[in-house]
Amino acid sequence: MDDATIRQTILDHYAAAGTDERHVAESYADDVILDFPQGGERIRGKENIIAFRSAYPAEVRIEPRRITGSGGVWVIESTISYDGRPQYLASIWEFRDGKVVHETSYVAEGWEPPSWRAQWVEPMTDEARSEAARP
Amino acid sequence: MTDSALRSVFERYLQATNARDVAALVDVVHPDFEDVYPQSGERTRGLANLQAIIEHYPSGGYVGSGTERVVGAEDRWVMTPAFTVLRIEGSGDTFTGVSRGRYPDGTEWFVVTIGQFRDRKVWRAETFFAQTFEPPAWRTKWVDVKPSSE
Repeated sequence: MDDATIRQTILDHYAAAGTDERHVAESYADDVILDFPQGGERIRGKENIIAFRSAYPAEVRIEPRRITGSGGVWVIESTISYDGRPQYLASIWEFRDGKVVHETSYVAEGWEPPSWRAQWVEPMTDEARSEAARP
Repeated sequence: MTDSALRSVFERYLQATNARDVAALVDVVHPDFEDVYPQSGERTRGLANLQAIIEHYPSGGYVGSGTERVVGAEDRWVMTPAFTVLRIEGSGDTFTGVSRGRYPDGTEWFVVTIGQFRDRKVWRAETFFAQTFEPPAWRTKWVDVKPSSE
């Protein structure tokens, strides 16, 4: 699978997130592992992931902001919203034979920039943040 | 410079930022370095500003506990006593590192840093801070709880 195909696979995956979990899971190998290190959680297998996501107690939408990688390992930075509340999502995808065999995801909340370091830091506008995030 | 050499530079960068070792950053950071925190919309330009922030960091702040893993396109985890190392991009100019740290209030965090290279130095770093959480009860039937350091 070439890099362009993998990028399209990633975009298709996230475009269907929250609406068609079986379509989302088409990018996964049957024995895929999904890890959430923050909770020490591991979900084994495509069917468990479909069931878990189908039962999610919130409306989830994901918008990829930046995709980096090549070959077998890719990193996707996204905005993820739960019932409209946005957070940041960083996911590491490992591929084998064109399918994802291991996804490791981290979800992170935004915060207000601390004032003590403002003199050395440039605040980014929303536009600049999106621009900086492009591959 | 080989991919493994770049990987080593990135490891040194992560170790230096975790340890707040200002002197160690000089050798690994590009003159046009940018440090981006998307969560707060902060961009730090240049080594001098990065060093100033580290030197003025309030006491009682973040304490890094070491780099856990760096991933890359070799598709394998290579274990070392302190961290795991792989390369991420075929061009060899992008690496992703995951570190773990703790604040004095006892909260535990994962730090995910995506680093891009220019002239064999870390030119741009984009970092996410993700706090640990208790596994939600509603999804336990599909989830194995594993040590978070795996």
